[in-house]
Amino acid sequence: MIPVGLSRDLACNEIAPVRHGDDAFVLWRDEGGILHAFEDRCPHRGVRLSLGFVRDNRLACLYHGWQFDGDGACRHIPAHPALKPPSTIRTRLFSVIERAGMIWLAREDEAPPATALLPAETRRVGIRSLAVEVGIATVRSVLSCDRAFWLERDGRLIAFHAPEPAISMLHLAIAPGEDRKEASSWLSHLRDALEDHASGRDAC
Amino acid sequence: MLILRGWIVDERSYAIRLAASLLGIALAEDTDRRAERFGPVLEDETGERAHVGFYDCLSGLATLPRRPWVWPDPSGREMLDWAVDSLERFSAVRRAVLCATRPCDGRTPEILHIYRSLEDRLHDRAMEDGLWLSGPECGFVDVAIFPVAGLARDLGIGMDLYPAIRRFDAGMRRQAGFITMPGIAACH
Repeated sequence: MIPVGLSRDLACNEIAPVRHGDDAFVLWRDEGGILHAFEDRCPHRGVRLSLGFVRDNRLACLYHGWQFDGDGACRHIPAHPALKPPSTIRTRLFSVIERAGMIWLAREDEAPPATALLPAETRRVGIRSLAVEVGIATVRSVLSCDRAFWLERDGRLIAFHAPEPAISMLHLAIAPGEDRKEASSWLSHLRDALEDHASGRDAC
Repeated sequence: MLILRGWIVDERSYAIRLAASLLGIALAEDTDRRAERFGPVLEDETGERAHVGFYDCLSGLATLPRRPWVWPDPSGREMLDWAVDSLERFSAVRRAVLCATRPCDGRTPEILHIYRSLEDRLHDRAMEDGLWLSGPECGFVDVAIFPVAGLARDLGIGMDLYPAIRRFDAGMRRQAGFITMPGIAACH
């Protein structure tokens, strides 16, 4: 599973876009606090659902207002209010869980989600998600992390994913009680170090 | 009543309309396309006094009596100057991108630097459990920089890279008196 953000960055009735590799997803949290992940594409006209909004505990597309419930099924078409949408109208659904202060998303080829490969379910506080202008290979190289998308160091959970080939997103979560500002500052320094490393390599 | 001479798709004209709306100030609006290039003009109803350009218009709103927003003191002025300068730069690039006759990448190093700086500043505020750059409440700095957040996708900037800006954008849309412009929809 891929770490795609911090739990604290997505409140109830909010939407967040996520990209990883060539895939685009939309995350949204319903009124009950349950997190959902869909393909970031409305099955009607292909508009990004991440441009939409949450209404009546459903994700609504900005273009024509088609509404999708937590199971990805279309439940309401504003242009045809009396119509019960056919069950075939639905978005693609992805497994998503929250663990250690972060949101983890399973790509299609990973069903059922490999939760055994995630960090232990200890309580952590999400500090920051931060874009870094380096590819994920550089992140892995500098952090000495061969295959996974996360590592633990000095009690901190550092995770990352790749929204663009030359941009990585770093996510940091720490144990409760640890200094938040100090941890945030450390992550900013890590960004600088990674970008310096990449530019030095380019210069060579 | 004050008169705003602005242009509907100009970000700076919008920021003045937004500030007036959030402050409960009635504005008469007069369409003037020169605002697209030179920024809006705010006049009093007699036409004797005019504030020309975005910064002047903002400061004009600040001089109105009995308004809750405080004009930044010298220590906070750096933030306001940065916000105004960032909006002016953003406005120039967005205009160039939207008016280009061929596909044009708006994600210039200068623009990406603005977004990184905004994200860092908003994150620093979040570390102090605050949402706004102006202080405990929304204010002039926030209104000045908001179009940069709200119109990001016009330049191909993805909000998945900027979670603090996304929170800020959502917070502004929840404000009583929030208004829209082409590119900033109401249904959020």
